[in-house]
Amino acid sequence: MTTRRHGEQRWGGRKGTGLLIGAVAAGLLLSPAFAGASEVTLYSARKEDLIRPAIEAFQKETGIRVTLLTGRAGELARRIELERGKPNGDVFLGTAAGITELLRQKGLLEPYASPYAREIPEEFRAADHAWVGITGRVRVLIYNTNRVKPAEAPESYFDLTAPRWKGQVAVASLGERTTVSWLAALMALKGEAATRQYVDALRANGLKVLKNNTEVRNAVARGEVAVGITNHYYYMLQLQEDPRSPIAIVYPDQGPTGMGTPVFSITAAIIKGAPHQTEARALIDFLLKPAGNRLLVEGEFEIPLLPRVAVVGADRGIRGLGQFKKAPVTQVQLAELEPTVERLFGSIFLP
Amino acid sequence: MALALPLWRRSRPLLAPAVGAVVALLVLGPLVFLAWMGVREGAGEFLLRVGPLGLPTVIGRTFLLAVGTTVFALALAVPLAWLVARSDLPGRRLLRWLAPLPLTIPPYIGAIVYQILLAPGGTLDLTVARLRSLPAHQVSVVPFYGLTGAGWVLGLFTFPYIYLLVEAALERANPALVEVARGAGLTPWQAFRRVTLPLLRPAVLSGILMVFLYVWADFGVVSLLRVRTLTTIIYDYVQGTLDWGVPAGLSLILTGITLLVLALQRHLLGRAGYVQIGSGARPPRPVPLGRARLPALVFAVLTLTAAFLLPVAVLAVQAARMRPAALAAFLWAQTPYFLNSLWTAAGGATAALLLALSIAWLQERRGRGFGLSTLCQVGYAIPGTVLGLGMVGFFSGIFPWLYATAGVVMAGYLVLFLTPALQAVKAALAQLPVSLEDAARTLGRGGLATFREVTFPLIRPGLLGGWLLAFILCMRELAATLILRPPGFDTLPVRVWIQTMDVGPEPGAAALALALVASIALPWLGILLAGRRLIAMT
Repeated sequence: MTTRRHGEQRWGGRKGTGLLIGAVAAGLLLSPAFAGASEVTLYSARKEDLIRPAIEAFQKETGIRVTLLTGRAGELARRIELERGKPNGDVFLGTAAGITELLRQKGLLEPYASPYAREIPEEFRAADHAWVGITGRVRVLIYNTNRVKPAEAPESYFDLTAPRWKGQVAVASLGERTTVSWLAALMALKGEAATRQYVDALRANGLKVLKNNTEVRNAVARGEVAVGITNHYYYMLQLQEDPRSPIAIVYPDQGPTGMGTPVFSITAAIIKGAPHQTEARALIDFLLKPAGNRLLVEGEFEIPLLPRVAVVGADRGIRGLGQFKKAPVTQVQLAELEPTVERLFGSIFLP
Repeated sequence: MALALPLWRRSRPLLAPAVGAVVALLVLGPLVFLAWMGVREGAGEFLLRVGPLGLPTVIGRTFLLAVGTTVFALALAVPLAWLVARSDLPGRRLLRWLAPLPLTIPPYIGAIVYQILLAPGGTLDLTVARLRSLPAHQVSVVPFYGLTGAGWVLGLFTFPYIYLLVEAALERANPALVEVARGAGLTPWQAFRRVTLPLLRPAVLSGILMVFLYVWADFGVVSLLRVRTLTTIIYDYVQGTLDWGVPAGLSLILTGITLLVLALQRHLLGRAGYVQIGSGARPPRPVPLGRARLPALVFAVLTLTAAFLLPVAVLAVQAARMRPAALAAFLWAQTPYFLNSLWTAAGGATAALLLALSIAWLQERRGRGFGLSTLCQVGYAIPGTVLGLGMVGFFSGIFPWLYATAGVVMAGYLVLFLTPALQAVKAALAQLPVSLEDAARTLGRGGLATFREVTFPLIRPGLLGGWLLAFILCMRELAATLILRPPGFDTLPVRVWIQTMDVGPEPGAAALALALVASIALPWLGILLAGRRLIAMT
């Protein structure tokens, strides 16, 4: 009696083990590394929900299946660097030009002059076509309207060192590339010494460094801080979440002597030695064609770099290229300064 | 003659070197890669660049957090274990099932939940503001961000590590010892302090080590609750820059500190040695709590509410903000990720268990391979981010065919969670008298037959426990998976992370987190019940 029961149990155990091994083996075989067919692998540093509509439209139009790897720009660039000999990814979508330009300098990108890139202003492209800007984001200030009256709102980044804003300003850490790009813009236009001085003054004034831009917008919307230095679409995302949020947007440094508001571009590039070159080119083309580009602009509330695509959120105060004073720096200039920014300010802009 | 031996017997002397090689390769390989990258890229500049980071402060802060969390976790775990194992607390059988459940909630999800409740502008502040009719931003009831919040969350969700070990030790300890002490005229408190506590010392120390090292390596909670530690600095550099020098150097510093802690623990534990001959013949007589019954019950209920019921309820409320149809469709779309989690966790846990069994057998039956435990513990104590970074570099260089496959993800799980599996297997094997195996050998059974017919059936509950613990930990792993996963191969925790990174703790993220907790908690309960039936049958 007991023996039989033992026998049954052992058999059950073996069957379980067999099933387990089978499942693991099946999983290994079915994992994407073994898949074939017409496909393209996208390493994207963009927020996944916001980029999905464009990707789905691309899949529908071309029949090319997109495998998406979402991560932070630095992490994805490290992968590309490690995969130098045998790349797994095809297209890299970065949040700003800095990391993409570093990849270009390391010889990790494959130049591609898309016929659709011609309408993108030259300051948003790499000279050798290694990468191209596809949409733009503007470095603005947002403030909590319960805590700040419109008349008192800061008009410049440089207002934020005043005692009025002590402990009331938040910015994202350097984990967000746009923070690095913003500091690079200051360095390009004001010089290293002035930028250092400004950062020290901000710090002395109790600057709050938060983990990412989502935290910055939450902190401003909740009234935890009065002002946030962030990108324009976080203002739109907050309004999308709650249209009655007590927040407003400022395009800083617009005055006649002001440096202007910097614009950064999302960049797309083909990885050197990418296994699916044709598909990768098709994806870049799609993102640059007005129909595809519009989906990115609409999904992410970015500003269009193409003249034929309309600005989203104009009714809430969002302005397109040419509708505000843009800081006069090119993406390549920013990218070249970014490593210096990391060295100088890396240890300060940590949460 | 030697040739007539079956193959496995001839190859047995190879077991120790083979196991050693696997563990050493997987643990040391990534570290060597990081050291190499650190030296190659800016070793000279390292001190210059790390200077402004204020490392002593950062390390001191992390240490403070680890100590505080450990004390808090002890204060929850030890009384709870004693109440369950030794007292006449009403409902203690139910409590025994429920108390380990906080382990099924990954601490980073716990942090999201308490952020919703306690952060400035969160539920608590809004409620208080409404009651006192003040503007929301003027109310801040608790200082949530920083060490207090992080210690609270980490303690709540790691105390079961200590609880499990202490409760098991209490079950094993012979209750007659306490009765003798009481008979000799000691008060119950004196008996606890002088008899029970020394017996619990090894379990408590192991538990302390588990929690301490967990906090030391934690990434999710501290980054959400704004405590700057070595791990968050490393991760910020990994995320935001292409720089290898700083993160590699900091990773090595972190590993060095871990080794120091391990050496200290070995030193402390080396002096504690209590061997019990035979186990308690009869179950312990429950200690009557008397007037302490109500406070004890309140303590147990509050602990479980804060560490399990409340988080689950908050997630459910958040998820319920989605319409049922949309919710169902959303969850259905996550099936592939769920399956990814399931089979990599099962594979990782199985590999960990097999390796743990080999190591435990070498140690308990052959008296060898103790250095391997330390190696394994280094693996457990390396932050997932550091391990992931080292592993991708190591595998892409040495085993390119394995790089960016699910196999590397499982290898990562193996390194991270070999220690918990090993602890469970060793505990089971240590309780089994060698004489039983010797008797089987005398009766003519070979080594393998002895294992199959005597050892395995007796240690099966322990193996099951070890596998399950490793499985749970694999299911909820985030930091290493983020770096190790192949393109298109997301797991449930990765999806939760991507969802919260997009929009904060939104209904979708809450629903996913709830699905994750359920998929960890349900097998746990199922196997606990099955395990009880197994024990009842023997």
